[in-house]
Amino acid sequence: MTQETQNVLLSVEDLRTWYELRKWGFFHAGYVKAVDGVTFDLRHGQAITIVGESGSGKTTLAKTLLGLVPPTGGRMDLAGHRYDSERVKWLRFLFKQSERAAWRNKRERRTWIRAKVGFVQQDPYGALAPFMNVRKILAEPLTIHRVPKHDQEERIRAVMEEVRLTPSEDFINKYAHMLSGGQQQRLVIARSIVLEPELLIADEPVSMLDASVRVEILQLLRRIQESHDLGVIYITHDLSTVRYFSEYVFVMYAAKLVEKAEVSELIHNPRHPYTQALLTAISDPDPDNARVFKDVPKGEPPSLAHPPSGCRFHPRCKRFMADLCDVQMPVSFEPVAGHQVECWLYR
Amino acid sequence: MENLDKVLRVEDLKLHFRTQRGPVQAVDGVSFELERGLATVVVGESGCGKSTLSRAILRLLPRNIHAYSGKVWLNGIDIMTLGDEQFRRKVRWVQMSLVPQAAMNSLNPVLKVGDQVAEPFLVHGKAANKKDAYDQAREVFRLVGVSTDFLERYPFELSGGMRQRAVLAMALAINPDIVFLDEPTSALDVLTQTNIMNVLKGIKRDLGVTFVLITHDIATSSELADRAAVMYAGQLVELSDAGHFFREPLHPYSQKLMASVPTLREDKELEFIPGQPPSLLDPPRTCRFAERCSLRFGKCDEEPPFKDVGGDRWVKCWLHV
Repeated sequence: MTQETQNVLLSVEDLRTWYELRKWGFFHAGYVKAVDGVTFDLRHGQAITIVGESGSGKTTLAKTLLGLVPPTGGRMDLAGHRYDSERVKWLRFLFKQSERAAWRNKRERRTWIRAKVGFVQQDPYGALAPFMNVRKILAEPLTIHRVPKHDQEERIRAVMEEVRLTPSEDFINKYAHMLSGGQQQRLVIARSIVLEPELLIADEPVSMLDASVRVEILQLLRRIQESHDLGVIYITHDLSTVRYFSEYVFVMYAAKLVEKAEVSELIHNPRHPYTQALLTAISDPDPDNARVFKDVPKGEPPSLAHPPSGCRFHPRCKRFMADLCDVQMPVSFEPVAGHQVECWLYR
Repeated sequence: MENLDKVLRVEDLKLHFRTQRGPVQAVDGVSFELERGLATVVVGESGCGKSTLSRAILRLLPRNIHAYSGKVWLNGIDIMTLGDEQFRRKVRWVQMSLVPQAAMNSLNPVLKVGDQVAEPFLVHGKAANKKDAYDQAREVFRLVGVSTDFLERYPFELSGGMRQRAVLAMALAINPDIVFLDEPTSALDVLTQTNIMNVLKGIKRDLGVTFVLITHDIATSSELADRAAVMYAGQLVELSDAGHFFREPLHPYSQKLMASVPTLREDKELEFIPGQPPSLLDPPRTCRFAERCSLRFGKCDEEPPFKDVGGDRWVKCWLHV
């Protein structure tokens, strides 16, 4: 094994998550391909961002990586362990002893994943149980993972210190509704790192917060990532916050990663027509914006149940090439080292 | 004689809600003027009273009112003295309309979109019959760039951006002077957002509608803004033209707010504002931002006036008196 491969924390290859559609609740009626052929590697202590619009499959990707949704196909290796992509076959499980053992294994594996991967939810208030106080919220993962009671208190204080919910005496007996939005999100972050995971998945962690608090939370996440050498996957729709957080960014469109590059490279030299449109659309606060009409593609992202043939962006693309883009799915090209793009323009 | 270029003039508007813990001063003494045909953006953190401000002007009030006072002149007429029925007939939707927050979900799911967009024409007597109303609805649909086929559909068949445009079409239906837009793009995708902003710009240019855009997204608001207003803890703290506001805001709160907006193209160190806004149950008698302000000095223990500092700019801060 080379140095490079040893350093990989999470390796994903051709990952697919399809939701089955049913007709009359019984007949098969196709799939919604929410994640379709996603490949990437994440090294220890690396932060990456996945940018995509709503419905592009970015949250399903997060759920798959967390083990909440079984993948339909492909491979996921976390710290050298492979997750299972097989579905639970309920009927067989009821009858066969061996299946029951497999189920038990699966549960153990899930518990293992939970300890390795932390999750920061989008809506902090919705993610915190209203009937638990801060101590209980932070103790629950520790209890489930059988951390002895006398060690728990110390660990709770340590993570509260880390997310700056200080002095911890003031907060530890409070309930979620007594905290402000920023404090709630810090509590969610504290809970996600209380088991000392190696990977943190943050799904739109700041989209529900005010602009003035957003930056504070992003900086906090960044600090935690650096001090713990965590791998972080930051999922967002807002490209303008990306450069304050990670070095590497993936652009997701209609279930695929269409462009992968370093942040400054992507912002200054976007290659994929979709990324170019996205960058045009994002405004910086500038009074001159009000005087110009922006040239962005019309229409909506495609339905994932019936995606267009060939490249999925071709119906909205300005640089569409007939007989190529609408027929063949583009493969990954690398016009510049470290900058990959799935577009026929760079063949 | 009122100056008719000022389409709306608000003076010392107050709206306090009654709660179990005492009155909440959601809008507390707001005064401003709107010029015809210019778009004003109102920015501020959540809970600063910016949505309540639009509801107070449109008199869309909840039941738990503690205090509701002030003066509002629309086209030179004091609309606060009108009775509720008069207000409904003559002002709301006829001269001022609202695109509510989460507008995409404010369509009735069991009625066809066309019936809902045609309704204002029938209610306000602008159409003789249903067919006429539908014809006029088709017109406004073209205006906002939605295919008229969608009139025959139900809301669930439309995408978020389409629904947002349909609600905008309803608000524009009977040519109001002022349209309040409450977070019109915050739930939408970036590309859809930009498309809707383009539609709004076109309407502003062609029809001369006065827009009031209420939002917390400062970067997107700059797409439409001619003037900008900043609200903090129920009060306006700054009002100026967009050109000056986005380049050099005057109030310390506006400065911090601008410094916290991430930019894509420009490298800048982001700042955040420590602390939280004061509780509106019992706001301090000092300047309401004083507690979080880094430029605080002795005078800030008194409430500053909202004052014209020249060049069409108003600021509520002792530094600019």
